[in-house]
Amino acid sequence: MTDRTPLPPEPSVTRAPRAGVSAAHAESGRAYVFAWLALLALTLLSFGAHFLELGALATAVSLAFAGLKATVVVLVFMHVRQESVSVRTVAGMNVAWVVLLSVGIALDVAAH
Amino acid sequence: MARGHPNDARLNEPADHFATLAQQEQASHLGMWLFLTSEVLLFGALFGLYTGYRLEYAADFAQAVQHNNIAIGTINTALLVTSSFSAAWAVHSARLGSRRGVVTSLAVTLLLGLGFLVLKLVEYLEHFQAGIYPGALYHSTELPSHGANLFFTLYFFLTGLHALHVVAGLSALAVLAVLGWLGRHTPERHTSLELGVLYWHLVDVIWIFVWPLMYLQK
Amino acid sequence: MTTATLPLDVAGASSPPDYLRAESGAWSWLNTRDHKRIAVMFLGAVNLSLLLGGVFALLLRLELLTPERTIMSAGAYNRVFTLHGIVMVFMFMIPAIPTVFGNFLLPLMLGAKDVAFPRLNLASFYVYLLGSALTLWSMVAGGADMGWTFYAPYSTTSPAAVAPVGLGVFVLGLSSIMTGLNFIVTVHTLRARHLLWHKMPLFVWSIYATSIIQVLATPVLGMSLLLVAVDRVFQLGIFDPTLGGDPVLFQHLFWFYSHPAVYIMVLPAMGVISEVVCTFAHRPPASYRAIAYSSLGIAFVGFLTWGHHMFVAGISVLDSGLFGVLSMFVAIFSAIKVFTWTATLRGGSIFFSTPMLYFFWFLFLFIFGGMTGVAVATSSLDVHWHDTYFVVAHFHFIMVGSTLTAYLAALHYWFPKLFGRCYSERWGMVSSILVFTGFFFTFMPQFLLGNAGMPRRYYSYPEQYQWLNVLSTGGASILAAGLISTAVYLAVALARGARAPQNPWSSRSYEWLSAAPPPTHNFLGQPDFERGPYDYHLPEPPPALAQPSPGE
Repeated sequence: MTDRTPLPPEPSVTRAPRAGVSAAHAESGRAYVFAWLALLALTLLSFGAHFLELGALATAVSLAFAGLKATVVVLVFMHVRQESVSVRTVAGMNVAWVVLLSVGIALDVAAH
Repeated sequence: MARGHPNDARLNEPADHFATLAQQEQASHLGMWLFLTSEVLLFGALFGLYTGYRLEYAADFAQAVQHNNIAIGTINTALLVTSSFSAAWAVHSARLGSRRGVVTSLAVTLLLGLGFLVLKLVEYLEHFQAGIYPGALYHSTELPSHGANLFFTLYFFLTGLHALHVVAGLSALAVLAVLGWLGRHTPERHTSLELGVLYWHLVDVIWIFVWPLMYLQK
Repeated sequence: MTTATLPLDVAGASSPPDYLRAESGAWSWLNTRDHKRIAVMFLGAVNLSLLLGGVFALLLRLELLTPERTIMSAGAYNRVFTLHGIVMVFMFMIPAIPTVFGNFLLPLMLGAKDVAFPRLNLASFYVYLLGSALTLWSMVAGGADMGWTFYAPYSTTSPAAVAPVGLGVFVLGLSSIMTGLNFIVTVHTLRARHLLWHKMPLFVWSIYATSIIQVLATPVLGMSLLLVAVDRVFQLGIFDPTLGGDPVLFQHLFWFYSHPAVYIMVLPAMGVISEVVCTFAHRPPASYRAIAYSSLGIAFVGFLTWGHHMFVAGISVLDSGLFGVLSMFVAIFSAIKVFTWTATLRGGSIFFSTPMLYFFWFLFLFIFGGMTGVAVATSSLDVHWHDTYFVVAHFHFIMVGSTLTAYLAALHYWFPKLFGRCYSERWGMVSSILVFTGFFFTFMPQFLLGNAGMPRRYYSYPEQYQWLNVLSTGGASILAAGLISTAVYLAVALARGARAPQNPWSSRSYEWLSAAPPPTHNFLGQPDFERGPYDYHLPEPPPALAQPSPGE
């Protein structure tokens, strides 16, 4: 990674400077490979769970697996851990808002 | 010389209204995530609809799900997940300055994405042959109920919209692959590649949730 | 690039030209990246939308002068009230303050040269024009008659031209998302050095909160309208009861956006009011944090209340109860603001002018509108008032009485900044009184009409409601006169008004630190914001001095 003179104090960007500047990205690709294998494994497990008689739990289990897989993609592939607090908050809000809409609808339909 | 040429000194300078490149890149990333958020909420509306109808027609939905081709669905999941890996690898290659790595990874991603679309087409044709169409065109004799009709309408709309996003993502990645081949993604600056690949990951994440809802319920 | 020691701007022979005169020719406007020019283009566009929506309103009020047919058929009436709603909501109320004043002022208030994505900003203007064109094209293609709320199954089966309107609004929604996205990123990344979050002008907080809603809520509206449009063209039937569909699910999707949408409409207005109050009372806000955080509170809690539009649609009692309770919480944040603004006046050195007069109308009308909002959010009461003129009056008190009033306040308050000219205070005050009087007599009778049982969207009505309708139409004419007069004297001021000083109101807020009108890049050098935006205890910053430009 190139050596850079420290930049002057930045207007409003006080988080660790990101892409292109930080030396932390002399990374190995291992994390990506493990993430990929984990995703395949979780897919397989979810597929397998489908054949079990889980009754009412089946939906929750399949969505839980989906949630885990999405988390892997977001944390590892989308580099959310290296992103700013704002980006991480936005990522979290995605989940919350979709859940909010579904819950609001569910509470109507289910309680009819 | 043309902006973006590897020897162009302007390559690593921010736009006029940004003070530093780091500031501009932070802005690009936040902006991209906000755009992804709008896409998530767009699909979220469909997930909300699915939730409502699933609660109203639980038995019909369960039956209809079984009619979906779980083999194709699962293979498609594996394809997309792997394509996410290859797309992430493209960014990784750019960080390491490997032009060949960038182009190869993106090419693999494109192939996997195309494979996904081909399988989807096969699936749709299978459905059409069984009289399963969206909306008022539905005429399946095996699953005649309203609930099944609604399930498949949602199925076609959700996976159809998703497929459109796959096409958009693949188009962007194709352009990025060409730029990669021209050497435009340098270790110091490969923002457009990062953003395009973020979009691809979103397409993957959406499918990660579509798969259980459309193929795995019992 | 030099910093703090420079005066922030220079006037005189060597100063850069202002943004209006920096480049000439139509192409320099149509292809501009300058947020200020984009704001002015939006100003023209939204004012035209306001005019169009206003014309529809007058037509409606004329028709309602008599219990039966007055000037149009029932089918035409349905089309007119639908387009009145759609044009006013999507082409005026949602975009107006953010795209005009948000665009113009955000970079100035943050010490930035532009918004984060200037080309996206320009694109948002063209997307707005495209959406408007699609929406209005439906007028000649058969109109739309399902109300601005697009409820299924009527929207999916009506013979009118629903699909182009639905798609037009979808495209307008895209413009809204683009604006919101741009503003959020601008606030996060382009604040000047020393400009901490808690030193931003309060207008920025309200625009920021609005932008969050725009990004999160608009896509859901987009999907709901897309589904209606696709249903019409391809018989998707997703809300069709004959295919097992549930029309109430459409309402869930629609109101998930459209309730937060009312906060998109009112939050920027509240931001304007915060600025006007502090400037004209010459005092800092009684509590900066109360106003800043209540903006965020409204944005977030506003997402939890959409079901209160569906109390009589057949939703479950559980959902009804939950939404009713949650709706009460939103009112708390509005109340916090009202009390804080009022407390800000205390001990202030109040200086009276047209913007301040609009503030007083705002305060009175917003309190009415807000309290009646709490009233209709009470489900047991709403059973009586739903779909009557009571609700129509409630939301017009907020939309016209609050948002339009604040828009007018903003137009007057920042007129010297945008155009470097002064308007006539006498005309301003007179027109403002006309606007308020007209408003009051248009909508106050509607509370009485609604409570007495007159339904909304009805073309004909029983005799006993006529006198209140006549009063309402009379009020509408006065309101129209006030608005037209405002347009006229502002246009005259634009052409021939006296040259405005840099800071005619002696405000301490940051946008007044640059010239009036500002040069294209807003500031010379990198501004340094060690002062706060409400430091009225400090002397007013000196106006720009005549000095040679240091070779920028």
